[in-house]
Amino acid sequence: MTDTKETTPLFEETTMRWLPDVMRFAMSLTRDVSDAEDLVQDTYLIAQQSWHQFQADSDSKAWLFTIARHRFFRLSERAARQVPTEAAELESLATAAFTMQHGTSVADAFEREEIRLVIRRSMYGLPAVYREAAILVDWHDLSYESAARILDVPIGTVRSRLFRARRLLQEELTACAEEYGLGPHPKASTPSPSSSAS
Amino acid sequence: MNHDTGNGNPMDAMDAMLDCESVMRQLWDFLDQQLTPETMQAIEQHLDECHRCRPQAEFRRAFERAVSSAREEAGNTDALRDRIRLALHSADRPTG
Repeated sequence: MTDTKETTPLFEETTMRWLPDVMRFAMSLTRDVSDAEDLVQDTYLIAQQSWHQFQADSDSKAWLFTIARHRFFRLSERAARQVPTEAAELESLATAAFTMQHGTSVADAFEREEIRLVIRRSMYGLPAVYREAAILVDWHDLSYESAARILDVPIGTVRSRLFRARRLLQEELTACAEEYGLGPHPKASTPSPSSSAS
Repeated sequence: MNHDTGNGNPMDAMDAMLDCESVMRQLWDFLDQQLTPETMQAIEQHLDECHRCRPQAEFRRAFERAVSSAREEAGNTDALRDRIRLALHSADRPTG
């Protein structure tokens, strides 16, 4: 393994600071602590072997996430499904139409602890392609550009998948919030883009 | 379709509709700060003035906060860090 010889100090300096982030990402992929730790270790070993390919000015966190994701899908023998997605702007309009129909007063319920459990469950219930985009942007604060690099798709695809994920999550959360007794707000103060969204 | 911009000034109905629709189309990009500074400022101004679009933005902000608060935690990674370092150093040794 001559390629990696004497690379460890710089490699560790560059990558180890992202360990908690990589672990959180691995948790969102595997949903099991032990499996996540194994995935993280594999990720760092593969990264070390590929260290000579890493561009110094690249985003090392996104690079590690890319390796982790590839490793996970190889281990689980699941290929990321390519599904057709609508234009991102239409997803945003559909979200607006949904909010207009169900009101905005349920936003108060989003602060409740129970809702967090619902969010997590709903997130993992999303189709994989939507979940990945939402987890990278909403749970890891990555830019659309970094998420696109990790997922190996155009930025526009990230946007449409992300917006679809958010709309699906909003539908579930709104339904849940209404179950908590927070009824829909009167249809008063939202724009009406539904004619364009449909 | 009556679009109230909240500023009390009469506005051309078509222009108002396009403004609101344009804002709704770009609202997620705006909240994720993915737009140019000029567009960000224009939408910010629209949201300040439009009583119809502002609740949408506030709702989505609350939603984003809620989603963010549900993120996975890494827990204590000290033991994992030691384990990985050991594996890295082991793998980094020349095998002959």
